[in-house]
Amino acid sequence: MNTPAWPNNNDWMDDRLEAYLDDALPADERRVFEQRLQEEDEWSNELALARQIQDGLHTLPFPSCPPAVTQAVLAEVQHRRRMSFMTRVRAWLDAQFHSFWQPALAMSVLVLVVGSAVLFGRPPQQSNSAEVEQALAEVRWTLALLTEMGRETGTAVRSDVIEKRIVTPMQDALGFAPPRDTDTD
Amino acid sequence: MHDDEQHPTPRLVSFSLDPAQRRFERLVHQYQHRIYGFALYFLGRQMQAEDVTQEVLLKLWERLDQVDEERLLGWLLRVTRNACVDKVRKNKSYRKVVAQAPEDGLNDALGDDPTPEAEAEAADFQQHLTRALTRLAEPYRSIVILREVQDMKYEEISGAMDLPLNTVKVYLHRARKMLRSALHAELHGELDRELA
Repeated sequence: MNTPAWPNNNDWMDDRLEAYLDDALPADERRVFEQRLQEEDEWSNELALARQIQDGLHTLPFPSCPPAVTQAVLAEVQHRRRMSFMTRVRAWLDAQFHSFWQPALAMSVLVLVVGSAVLFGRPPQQSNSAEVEQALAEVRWTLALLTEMGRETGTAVRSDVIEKRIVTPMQDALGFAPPRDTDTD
Repeated sequence: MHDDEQHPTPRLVSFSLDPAQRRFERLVHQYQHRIYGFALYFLGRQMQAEDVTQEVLLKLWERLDQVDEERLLGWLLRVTRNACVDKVRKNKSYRKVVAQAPEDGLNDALGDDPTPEAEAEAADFQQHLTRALTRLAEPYRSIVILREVQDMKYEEISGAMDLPLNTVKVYLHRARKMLRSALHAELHGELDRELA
């Protein structure tokens, strides 16, 4: 039988105290340990403390999780689940839009634009240079005629209205009688 | 002691649920107390433990389709421990958190019923014990909580902590020794103060 090393050393006892409590010491060490326990009150007190700690740890209350904690967690999970569902719906709609609705919409817009142009647009004008030239000549003649008519009318107005109704009455009123043109046309 | 059936929780959601949600609700009911208990003993603060529990359960929901229920407890406790460590880091005052615990947090959460005189001493010792526990460094604290408080097997702790089995045993041994040393100092210090 081997004698354990340093059985008189306090560290030797200190190192084996918990093992002794767990009944995990080899028989020879256990015998030496118990011998010192009997001889030294210090170690029996220390053993009592170790036992008290072990018992104390084993009898510590096992706390209950407050219901509010788990309720909050389950509510959060429910919320995430709902959001996840909405996200999936949105993703599906997006996919549908990209794969079907977007091209369909573009095609509809194109059809609308082309249809409007066909239905409401003017047919292209055919230009005829002879007709245009004739119209321009007519416009010119008309303008010339109007100009001549305007000139004659202006002369008539000047001699008829201004001479007879304004100039002559003023001369008469002022006693100024210029020599009248005796020559009549 | 650690059976979750001790903490019956009424059905929380009344409206219809899909299979994933029903499964999640079942797992929540099964593991909520273990997660919360670990966080509470680790952090020593009720509010922080509640935050961590919510965070972990929501992570469970996010990974629900990848979850292997046979390994779920280990995964949950690993995530819980990481969340607790992050919480302490975010507070930027590991020591401060430890120093505040546990009088105004842990003991309130554990239910501080009026104690008969005969139990006063034991309650007092438990107070010292929980305080010493929240002062233990990592990974010792987690290992003590998992082994001694939550009564998990070494293999389960090894999985949850991602440590070799023997390392878990060695760490547990050291942790108990540290606790004894801390309590020895605290109890003797208190005795000295009373005598003075």
